[in-house]
Amino acid sequence: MEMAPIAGADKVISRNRDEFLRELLSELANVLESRVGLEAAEGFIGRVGSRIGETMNEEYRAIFETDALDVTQVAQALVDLKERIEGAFKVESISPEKIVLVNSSCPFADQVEGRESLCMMTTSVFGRIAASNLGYARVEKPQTIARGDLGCRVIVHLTEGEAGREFFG
Amino acid sequence: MSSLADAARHRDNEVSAFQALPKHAMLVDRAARVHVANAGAEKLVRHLFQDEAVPERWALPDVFEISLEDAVREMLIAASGDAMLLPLRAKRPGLPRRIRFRVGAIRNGTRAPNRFVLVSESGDALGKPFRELNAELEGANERARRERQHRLCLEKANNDLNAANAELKSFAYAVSHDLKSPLQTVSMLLSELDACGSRALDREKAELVGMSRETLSRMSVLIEDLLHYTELIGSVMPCEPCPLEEVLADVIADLRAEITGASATVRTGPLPVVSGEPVMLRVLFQNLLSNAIKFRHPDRPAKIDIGAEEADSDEMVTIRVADNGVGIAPEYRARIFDLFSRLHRHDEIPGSGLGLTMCRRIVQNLNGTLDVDENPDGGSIFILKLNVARDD
Ligand SMILES: Nc1ncnc2c1ncn2[C@@H]1O[C@H](COP(=O)(O)OP(=O)(O)OP(=O)(O)O)[C@@H](O)[C@H]1O
Ligand SMILES: [Mg+2]
Repeated sequence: MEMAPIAGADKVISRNRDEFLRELLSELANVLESRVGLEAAEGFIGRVGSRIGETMNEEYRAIFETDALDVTQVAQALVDLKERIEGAFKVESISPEKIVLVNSSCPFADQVEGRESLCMMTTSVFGRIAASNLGYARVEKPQTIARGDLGCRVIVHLTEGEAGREFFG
Repeated sequence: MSSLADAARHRDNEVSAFQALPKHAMLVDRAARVHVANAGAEKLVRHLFQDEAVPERWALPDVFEISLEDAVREMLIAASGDAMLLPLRAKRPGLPRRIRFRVGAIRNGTRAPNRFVLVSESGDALGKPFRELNAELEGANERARRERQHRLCLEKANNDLNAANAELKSFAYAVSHDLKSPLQTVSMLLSELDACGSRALDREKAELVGMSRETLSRMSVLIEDLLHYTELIGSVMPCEPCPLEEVLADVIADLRAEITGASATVRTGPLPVVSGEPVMLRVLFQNLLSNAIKFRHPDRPAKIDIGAEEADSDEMVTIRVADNGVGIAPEYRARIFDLFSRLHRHDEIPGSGLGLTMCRRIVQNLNGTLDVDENPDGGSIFILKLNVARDD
C-alpha cells in the first residue's frame, strides 16, 4: 500500500541514515554499559573493533603490497581509515617507540559523550592493526571527547609498559 | 628459613593452586598445544573422550570446535583483556556446550607472547544481564498484557452494567407504570361498591372492602416509590453547590408533623456546602430522618443528631446521622440497602423497603458512599461521604 508522507514530520525528525546508525550505536553502547558495566562493554566493543581491524589490516597490506606494514605505513593507515569515517585524526609524532594521534571531532559525533565504551572501537582497531604488523601495541588514551575533553589524544605505544590496553601480534 | 626454600614453597603453592582451581585452566603455546592442564581441565577432556584414549599430547582443536588457525588468532585477540568462547567438540551429558576462557599472555623477554594461560570463566558474562533484561522485558510485557486485559474486562463490565441498568430501568418503569392503571380500576370499583351504601353490604363484607382498599393504597405507594427509584437508576445528576444546612431545614419543616407526633428532637450541627443535586439531597435526608423517627425505640423519645466532620484531603466530607432508635443487628446492616429489604413487618411499621436503596443510589450517583454503623449510645448511625463543593 502506498503511504503518504506524514505532514510536518520533517520539522520534528531530522535524522538521516548516518545519524540513525550513530544513534543506534550510541544506544547499544548505552544499554551495554548500563547492563554489563563499562569494562565488559568495552570488552565486547573491543571484540567488534578487533574484527574490523583485522579486515582493514588485510586491505592496507594489499594496498601497500606488503606482508607487514612498517611504522609509517601503520600511521598512514590509521589516519586514512579515520578520515574515511570523518574521524579526522592527525599524526602528532612517529617514532619506533610510539605513534601519537590527535583529533578534534569524533566519527560518532555528539553521540559519543558519556559513552566511553565506544572509544574501544578506535582503541582496538588501532591496536589490532599496529600489533598485527609490528608484533605488539599498547593503546593509551590520555584524552577523549567521550570523557569531556576537547579532543582525543591516542598514543599507540610500541613498547611494553603499564598504561593502556595491550595487543599482541 | 632460607629464601630459596621460601621461593620453592611459593612456587609449589602456585602450582597446587593452579591444579586445585575449581575451573578449567590450561597453559597453551602459540601452536595451540596444551602444555599443562589442571585437574578440572583433565577431567573435562577425559569426560569428552569417554571410551576413546586421551592422546598423550593434545591441542585446543582436539577438544574444542575450532581450527588451529582460529584458536591462535582468538587467543591473541582475547589476550588484550577479553574472554574467548570455545564450543566443545562433542555434546556430552553433564558438560556445557561452550566454555568461556579468560586469556592471559605470557612472555619470556619477548614482545610477542609465546604462551597463553586460559582459565575458564564461570558463566557467560553477557548471559546473566541479558537473561535479566529479557526477564524484565517479559515481565513488563506480561504486566502490560494483564493491564490491557483488565481494562477490557472493566470496559466490558461497565458496558454490560450500563446496558443492564438501561434494561432494568425500562422494565421497572414499564411494570410500575402498567400496574398503576389496573390498580386505579380496582380502587374505582371498590369506591363504587362503597357508593352503593354500606347498608347494601353486611358488616363482614364492608370490612373486607376496607382491607382491600388499604392493601391497594399500600400497593400504590409501593408503585409510586418504585417509579421514583427507577428514575434514579443509571442517571447522571447535574451537580451544584448545595448548602446542607438549608437542605436539612427544608426536610425538617416537611417532617414537622412526624417529628412532633413522635415528640422527637432533631439537632443539626454546622454543615458544609456539598456538591450535589438539591432535590435528590432532600430525598436522601428525608428518608434517613423518617427512618430514624419510624424506627425509634419504644422506651425513649427519639433523638436525632446530624453533624459533619472536617473535609479530608480527598475533598470528601463525612456527615453522620445518629439516632437512638431500635438499632440494626450487625448481620443485617449490609442487607438494609437492598431492594425491598425490611427488618420489620409491615403491620408493625409500614414501608416499602425502598428508602435506603434509593438513598444509596443517590449517594452513588454523587460519587459518595453511605454506610451504617452502631451508635455506641444505642441506635444507629448512618455515615455519608459526599464531595465538598469547590469554590471555582
Ligand atoms: N434508623 C433506623 N433504625 C433501625 N432500623 C432501620 C433504620 N433505618 C432503616 N432501618 C431498617 O432497614 C429497613 C430498610 O429501610 P428502608 O428505608 O429501605 O425501608 P423502609 O423505611 O422500611 O421503607 P420505605 O423507606 O421504603 O418507606 C427498614 O425496614 C428497617 O428495618
Ligand atoms: Mg425508609
